[in-house]
Amino acid sequence: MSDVVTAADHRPPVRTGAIRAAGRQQLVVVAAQVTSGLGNLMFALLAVRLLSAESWARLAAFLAAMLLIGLPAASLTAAGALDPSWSQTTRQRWLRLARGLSITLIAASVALSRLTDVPILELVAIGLVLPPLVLLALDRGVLYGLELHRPLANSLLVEAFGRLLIGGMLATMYGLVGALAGVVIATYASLAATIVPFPPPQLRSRPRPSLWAGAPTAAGLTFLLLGVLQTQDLFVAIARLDRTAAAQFAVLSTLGGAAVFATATVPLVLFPQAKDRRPRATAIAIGLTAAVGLAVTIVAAATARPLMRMAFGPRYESIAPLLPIYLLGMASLAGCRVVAARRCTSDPARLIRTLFIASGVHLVALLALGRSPGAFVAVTTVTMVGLGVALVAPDVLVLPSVAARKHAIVAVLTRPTVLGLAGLSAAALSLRVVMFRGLWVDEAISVRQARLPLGTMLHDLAATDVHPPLHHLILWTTIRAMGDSEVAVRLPSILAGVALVPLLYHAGSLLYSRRVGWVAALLAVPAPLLVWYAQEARMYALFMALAVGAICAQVLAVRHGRLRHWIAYSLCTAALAWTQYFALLPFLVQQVAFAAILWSRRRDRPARRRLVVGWLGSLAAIGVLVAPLAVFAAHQAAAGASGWLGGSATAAGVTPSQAGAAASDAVSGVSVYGVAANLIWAVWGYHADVTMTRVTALWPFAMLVLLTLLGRGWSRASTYLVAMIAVPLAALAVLDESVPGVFELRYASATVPVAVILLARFITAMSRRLTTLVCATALVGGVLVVGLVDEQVNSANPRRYDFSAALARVEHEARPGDVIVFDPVYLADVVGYYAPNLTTRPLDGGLEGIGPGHGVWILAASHLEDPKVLASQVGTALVELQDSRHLTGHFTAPNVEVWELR
Amino acid sequence: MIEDPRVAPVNWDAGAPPKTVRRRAALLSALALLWGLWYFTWLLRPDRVGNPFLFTVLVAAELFNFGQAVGFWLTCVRQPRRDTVAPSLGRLVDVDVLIPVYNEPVEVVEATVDAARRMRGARVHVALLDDGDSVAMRHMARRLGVRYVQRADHSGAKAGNINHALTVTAAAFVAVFDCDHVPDPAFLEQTLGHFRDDRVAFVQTPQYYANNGRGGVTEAAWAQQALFFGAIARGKHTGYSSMFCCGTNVVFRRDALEAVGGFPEGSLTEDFQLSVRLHEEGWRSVYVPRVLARGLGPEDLASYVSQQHRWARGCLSTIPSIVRAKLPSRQKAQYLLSALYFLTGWTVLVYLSLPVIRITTGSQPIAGATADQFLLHFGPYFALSLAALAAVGSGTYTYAAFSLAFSTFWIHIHASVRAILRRPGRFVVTPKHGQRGIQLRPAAPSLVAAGVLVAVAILGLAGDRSPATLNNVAFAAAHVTVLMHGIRSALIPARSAAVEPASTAPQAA
Repeated sequence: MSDVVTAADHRPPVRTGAIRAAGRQQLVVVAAQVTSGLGNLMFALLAVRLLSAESWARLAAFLAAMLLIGLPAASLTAAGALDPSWSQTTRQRWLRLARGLSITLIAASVALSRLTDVPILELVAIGLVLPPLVLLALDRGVLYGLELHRPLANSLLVEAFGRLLIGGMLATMYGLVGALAGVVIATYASLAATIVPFPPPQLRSRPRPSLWAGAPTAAGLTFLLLGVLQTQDLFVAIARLDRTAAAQFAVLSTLGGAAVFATATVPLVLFPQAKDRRPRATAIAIGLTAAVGLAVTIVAAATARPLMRMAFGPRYESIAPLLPIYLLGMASLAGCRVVAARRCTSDPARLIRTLFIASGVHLVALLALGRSPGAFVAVTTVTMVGLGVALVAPDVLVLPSVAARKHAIVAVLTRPTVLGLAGLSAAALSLRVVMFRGLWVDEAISVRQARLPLGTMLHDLAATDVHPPLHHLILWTTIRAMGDSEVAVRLPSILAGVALVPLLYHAGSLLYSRRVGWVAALLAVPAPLLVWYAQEARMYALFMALAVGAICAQVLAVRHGRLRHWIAYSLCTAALAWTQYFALLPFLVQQVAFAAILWSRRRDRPARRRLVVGWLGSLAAIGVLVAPLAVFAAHQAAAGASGWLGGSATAAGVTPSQAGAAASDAVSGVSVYGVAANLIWAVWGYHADVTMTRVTALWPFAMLVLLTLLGRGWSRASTYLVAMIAVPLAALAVLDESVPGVFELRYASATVPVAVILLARFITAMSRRLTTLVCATALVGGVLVVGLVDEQVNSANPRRYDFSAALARVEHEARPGDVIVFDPVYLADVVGYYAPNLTTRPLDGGLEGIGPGHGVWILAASHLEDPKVLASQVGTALVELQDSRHLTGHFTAPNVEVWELR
Repeated sequence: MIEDPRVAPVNWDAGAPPKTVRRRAALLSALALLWGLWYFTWLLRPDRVGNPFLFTVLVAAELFNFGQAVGFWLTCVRQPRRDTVAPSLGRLVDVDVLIPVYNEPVEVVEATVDAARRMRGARVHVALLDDGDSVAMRHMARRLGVRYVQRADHSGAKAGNINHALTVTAAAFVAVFDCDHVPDPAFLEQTLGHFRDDRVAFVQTPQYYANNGRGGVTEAAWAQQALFFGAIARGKHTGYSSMFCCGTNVVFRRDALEAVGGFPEGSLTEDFQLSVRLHEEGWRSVYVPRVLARGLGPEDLASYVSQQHRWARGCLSTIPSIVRAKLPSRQKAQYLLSALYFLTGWTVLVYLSLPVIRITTGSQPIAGATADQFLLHFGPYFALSLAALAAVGSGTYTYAAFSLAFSTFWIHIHASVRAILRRPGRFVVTPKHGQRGIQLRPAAPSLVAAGVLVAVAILGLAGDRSPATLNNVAFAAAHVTVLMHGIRSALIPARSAAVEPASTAPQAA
């Protein structure tokens, strides 16, 4: 019998009664908070009806000012919630301060009114309401700290419904003055209803909690910083945006504030629970906040447009797509508040440092990037999500001290595995940079979109594209940071492509063995399709990397069930969805895998429970993270209608959703050869049609491969990986019946790295001998290199377009006044990218208006649409132009043909 | 000194597979069957006929293999739900343990005889039946205290040897072991109980190759054996009551043997022929899926060829008697299925020939169909068949086993031709030790086939690179790969060669 006792054995038993109590307390206060919010909303709606527009605007401004005062006041509540005795001891000091400010404000109201254009009435009202607001904040803090939740709920309800009743009644009688008076009276009434026993019996009976002396101050500072984080984007927006844009963002900020308001009480209720180290208190608080955040985000996602139209008018309807994204950021902020409340009791210094940095980064980013409401939404959401990760990370990753960390980093970096992977990654990077090719149509379109202001880009994507916005957002940032050179716009893909090398090692090691991991990483270096998409300024390389990340995270989560693995899985999966909608397919496979594992654990209750909790939690997290995307997708679907997901959206200005889908005519469509071609692409890359036909004819070797699998056994990991290939391809094949052209490997690009892992597994299973393994790996690697070279160099590859060379030559030889006429129409972006200084026009627009003295260059690209139509259009144009000009030149570049006429 | 592998622990379980495996195997078999039917409904249409002769030959080969596959699936799908333990016979009986030998190494035989003496559950009377008239054997028998039986007339090979022993022994039950099969002490305890049923003529147990870990031919041959003594034998017994005797690791009821006149001496597979006769007389057979004896499998290609040729020749020559036998149809079908398996080599010859003919003459069996259509119908059928095979065999059947069978296709052709021509066969004892060095002779037919295929592939590539030619070149290359893999151990001898040269002296049948 082992005497080893683990730390887990020393954990106190979880008391279900305490857990229920913690949950009940949270629910009571949240219910009161939400109800009071509804009361405030009803008061606002009543006031809108009772008051004139001008009076209503003044009342709204007054209420906004109260909210602004409420933000720093909330820090007093936080401090009191953490240490009620602090509130008691400092109450008089705060009261004197508030009273002083109040008297000063009232006394100086006439002068201030002249200086600030704020009416005297409102200034006086603010002066009157200031003391009760401060006292309310302090007293409520005490109630939170002493866990007197009923009086607390009463206080919240009295304030809101006092406003509704008293304010409504007085507004009916006296208009704006009555409304303001009602608000002030309701605040005093609420203060009167907030009965704090003095001195509180709990304080007398309980010893003072062993808190750090500055803890209340730290808590107050923490919530002050959180308040700054919540509101500074609005102030910057007002300062930097034009009136319309600022108003639009103000609407978003208001709704976001409302979302945070719903869970504002959760961290305050948590304070005493966290201080006493009560079991699961933090988890309950986070769960509640996440649930409310999810609900709010989903509701907003589903009703954004009508909500905007109804609440703020049709002119704000256009920013509806931004609402769920912003709410996601606010939900994250709400979560941060909870984590911060927990951290206030343990490590406030690091917490405050993190919040300071986050505020600074947020402010700088807003100032640098904030040029539209969309940019503000993006910056705030990214900052809040990043802050959430930064706050959670120390709990999830137990970080050692700085010195130990440095030592550990050096030790890690000098490990043979790390050095080997670094070498392979360097090789992969070199290969992806050296074997470079020019941008093609889709990439140029992405670049054009990413050059737009953020809001405009998102609007453009929602209106004209068929992909989610994550890659575009990354590209947008990259372009602003590094410009729009070929390397810069492809950098995200290159990095994702290089990251696939260690990721594949990790996945292979996790699923099978380190040997498989090494072979997979080695094969990933020259794998033609991994190289191809790492060189494309599109989302596919990112998708592949995230897919492999999700696989690794899922395996780790299932095996170890640690929080960080579930978080990693949720983040990877959500990011996958934000990268491409077809992420649904691997996601479904992973859910089936979870279900299968759950079934296999049906007799092991603790293991089953752990898995269920993690699985449902990850689903909830993914739901929250992906919910805003649903609105975006709905917009795209509505805007694209017939063209979404592969329709013929080829009108000017509309992204060709399937540009190049028919690139390989020989193997297009769903057929056995089509399936075979997709699998060959996955492993051996894109090639000329004649090569593909020949390679596909070698299918008897597939029989040989199947035969060699006999007797080798079949693991669950292999089933999982085969499903990751087969299910997406099968689903696309089925979908292709209704959406022709969608049966394309790039829409199931996760297939490619998965195929590499399976290939590595196949090689390593052939023999245990190292010599055989090395020879087999070298042989397969050599075959991949041949495929890579043919893919990248062979000009007959229908997917290899050299617009760069063609347009460079045109630019070099063109004379002033020459016109470039291109066909098909969606070459506009690639022509614009490579020849920004030349006069260009689509052939669709006709040849009228080209001066007789000007040279004309006709540029046509093959494989992008029906070759007969293309030939007809170009032929007609050539004949027409030759009435007045002579054909003086003609040259070709891969899949690009150029005629010069003078 | 090489340790005797027969003392090593058994690394194979012959017992009933778990329910999930049975279900998976049944599902895959059903899918393969359905897809196979779909493939044939597509193939057997007039507009598919390219060259009529080639089409006929291809269809015949395909139908033959489909028939074999269906028989295999139907056999294997009938698996026992659990392993049954034999009840006790209720009395202590006498058992004659017969160990026929013919010039095998003494040290190989000694372990068997010694283990036979130690069997529990009956009064054991071990008899060493020496057809080699070896003095060393006689001394060894005397040393171990077992009966040494010698005969003046060596006719009838192994069957004659056992029949002679039956005349000089008298126990109610007779156990037979090949001289290299070391019985487990519990052998009789696990088998005799089945004779409570008076209709049971014999109880067969698996023929386990204890040297299966030596790689090469042994491992591949074992994989074939494991499939037979695993899923197939269990299915034959459970579903069709038609498990036949395999000549060793078996216990007979003397009355049953005497009722059919002992072992038939005119056959190379006397055990198979004997089983037909016993079943014809209404006796029953039992298969105990438990390793109760450990033997040695062929260790080189020559040994394997020798063994397979004897089995093929014997089984094929039994076909007429099976057809004539008054057996229940299910048993007759099972016997025919087993015997006809040895015609599979002809279908391999057809498959090897088709790319050669296509590249050299341009003729091909199938027309009026695109490669895409062919793949759609044939590809899944092929894949599902392999998946079913893998599932049914619980992963025991390997690529090495397949390639060994494929590359020795010529054995079936040779044996069937000799059977048709009624040429007399020779009973060749399977050598017990592998040979050192390259064995060109048993590999020669495969080498010739591979050489022809390589030459034709080069010819094809030199001619044109059309997809059709490339497809046939790929077929040729795949065939060459399988052929060479199958005979590789004959061309590249294993580093750890066996110790003793084999004795392959023929014995008149």
